[in-house]
Amino acid sequence: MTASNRSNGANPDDRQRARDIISGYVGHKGALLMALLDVQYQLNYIPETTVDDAAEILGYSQPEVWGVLSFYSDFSVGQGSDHFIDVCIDAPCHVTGARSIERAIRDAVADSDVEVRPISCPRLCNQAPVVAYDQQWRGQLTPDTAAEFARNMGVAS
Amino acid sequence: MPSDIYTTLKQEADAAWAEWDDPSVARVSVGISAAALTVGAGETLEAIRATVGELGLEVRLLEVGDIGFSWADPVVHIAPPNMPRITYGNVTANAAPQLIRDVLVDGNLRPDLALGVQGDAPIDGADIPLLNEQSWMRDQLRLLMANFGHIEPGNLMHYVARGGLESLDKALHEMSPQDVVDTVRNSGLRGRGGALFPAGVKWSFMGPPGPGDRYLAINGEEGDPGAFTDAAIVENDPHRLLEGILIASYAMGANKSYIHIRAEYRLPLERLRRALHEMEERGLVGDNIMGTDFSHEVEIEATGHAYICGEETALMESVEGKRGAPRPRPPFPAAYGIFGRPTTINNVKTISYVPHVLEMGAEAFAAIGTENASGTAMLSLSGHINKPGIAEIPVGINLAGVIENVAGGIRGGKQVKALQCGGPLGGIMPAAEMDMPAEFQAMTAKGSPLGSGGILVLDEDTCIVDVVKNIAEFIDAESCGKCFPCRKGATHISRLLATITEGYGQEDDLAKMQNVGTSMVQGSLCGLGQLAPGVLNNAIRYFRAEFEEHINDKFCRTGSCAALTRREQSVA
Repeated sequence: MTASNRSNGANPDDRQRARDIISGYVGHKGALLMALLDVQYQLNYIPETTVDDAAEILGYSQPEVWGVLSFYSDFSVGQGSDHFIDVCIDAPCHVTGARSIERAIRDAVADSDVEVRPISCPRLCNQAPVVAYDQQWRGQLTPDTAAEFARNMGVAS
Repeated sequence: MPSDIYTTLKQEADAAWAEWDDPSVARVSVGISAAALTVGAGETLEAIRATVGELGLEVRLLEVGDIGFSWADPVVHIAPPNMPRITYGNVTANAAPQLIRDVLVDGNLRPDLALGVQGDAPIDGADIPLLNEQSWMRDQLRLLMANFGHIEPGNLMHYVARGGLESLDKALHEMSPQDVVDTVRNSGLRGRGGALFPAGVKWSFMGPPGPGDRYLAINGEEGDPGAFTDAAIVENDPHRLLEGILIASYAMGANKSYIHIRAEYRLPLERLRRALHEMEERGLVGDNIMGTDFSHEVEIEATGHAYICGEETALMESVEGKRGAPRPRPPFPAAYGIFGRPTTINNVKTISYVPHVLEMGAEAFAAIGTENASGTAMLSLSGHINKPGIAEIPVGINLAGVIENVAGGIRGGKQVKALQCGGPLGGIMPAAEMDMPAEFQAMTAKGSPLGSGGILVLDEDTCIVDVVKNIAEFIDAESCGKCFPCRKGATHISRLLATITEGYGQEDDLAKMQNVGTSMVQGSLCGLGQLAPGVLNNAIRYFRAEFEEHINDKFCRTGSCAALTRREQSVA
């Protein structure tokens, strides 16, 4: 789970969408993880209300729901920034320059509301180093091309 | 004798293949994978589509899988009418229109962008080598990758046209489940997740079928940074995995299988779902498969990002929708697995070999590779090399040769310093040890297991302490927290390495870290804790001087550790 730095209440539409997604998993064996992932990948975050809602709809306790949310790094609970740049920092990207790429990107988007997240390996090591803007990955970057990519995305958002 | 159902299917598939691969027409195929998309393969495909439209050319255009040459992405294959297919590299969206015009309109085959001609016959008068004779292809033997870059992934007709499902047909109609188990056992096929347990023996643990559910779970977690072959199989040839699943399930009497794969792998998942859907629609997955009594259901488990879920008991917890914390063994999965039912867990690669084993026969498969490990090894090549990508070699060829040829040697004319193999729980070996067979057991004996096939190549400018610290941080983040020695030990080692790289290392730090490592090995339930100190121990064994330089001289010879760039005292 990624801790969100700007946590606030879920908007009511998102709460209902999350409830609808979760309801689609009722009666499915071992549904909790899949239902939560579905919410995460459709909404790009987990509304805080979803903890209670998932527990109620699927018949789990709240600690069980929190247990799953805090375990897998896919989840970000509470709405954070609308836009993310993810930088892979694991070994293959690390040795091919991830550290200087992260620095270049942070500089490039310092004035925008894009949030930069160091993340674990998305298995694109053959194109290392890689970064993503809202899950769109780019590879074979240098600090310069990464900064350019980040600036273009920062302006577009 | 092929069954009537298979024969009909094969005829339909051959017709569909002939429709695409019509030699009288120009054929262009673009390699699309998650990796290729990161360097603009999607834009290349669109540029080619637009160019073909503008020029009014008669061209068959196809999206194919990734041939593995990540260093040359975007990769495009072009077959002019009545000519063999030529593979081109670095075809960016800017370069694509001119390439299409040159090759298909002006008859200039562009040797400058060509990687090679496919097949055995060179093109007269063209200065383009055969692809299979290129230094990076010569040593390869592609079984799992046979269809990579040649077919549209997820297209059943393409898969069948190239020989797919023949082994399934043979298993269901001509072999008993025990025959299949025996064939796999005699082939010497071993688990490719890293543990190398003989697959046929594992299957026989399931015992004779009884009432109730029996499961096969496919481990596609492949959490090692630097390993991406499982996802590549799912992405580029999903039917091979599905065929393997059906044959293995028939052999074990499993009525349902779960494919465990991360939800974040969008393109592989999309192609796998398409493949499964089509097989279900045609009755190749479901009840009474190919007109026999064998019925099987496949469920794709798109799961969360957590390294520990590659451990088989944690994977089962994850399939049940829970936190992926390992279970104590016994009971073993074959007795008490997913939802308490008998379960066998196999890696994506292991299962994907099964159609080959049946097709070739046990003896022919066993003849490839070494006595200890038959078959091929699929490699994920990354790091400071000229040719990062996916490759497949017969087990046991020379490792130094693999780095020099298949991986293309080190970038910028530098020297190899070390190989980090087998992911964070693998090991590290210095360049001096590389002159050895690329073979699972032999590499394990050197303390640097090949594991699931990830090789991260490090050049002479790499700081070993810094790499080990990065790996220790990964293990610290991914320890599931269930066993105290692993949870605390991983944090402790990671913090000690951080203090060393910041210039506060103390003389007994190495011994301290190794002590903590021993506690992790002894006090952890699963492989994560038990194997966690491997890279560290190996790094200390081969690169002790570099650690001591960081600790005693507060100096990092490569300049990677920013706090330690000035040598404050000379080496004693």
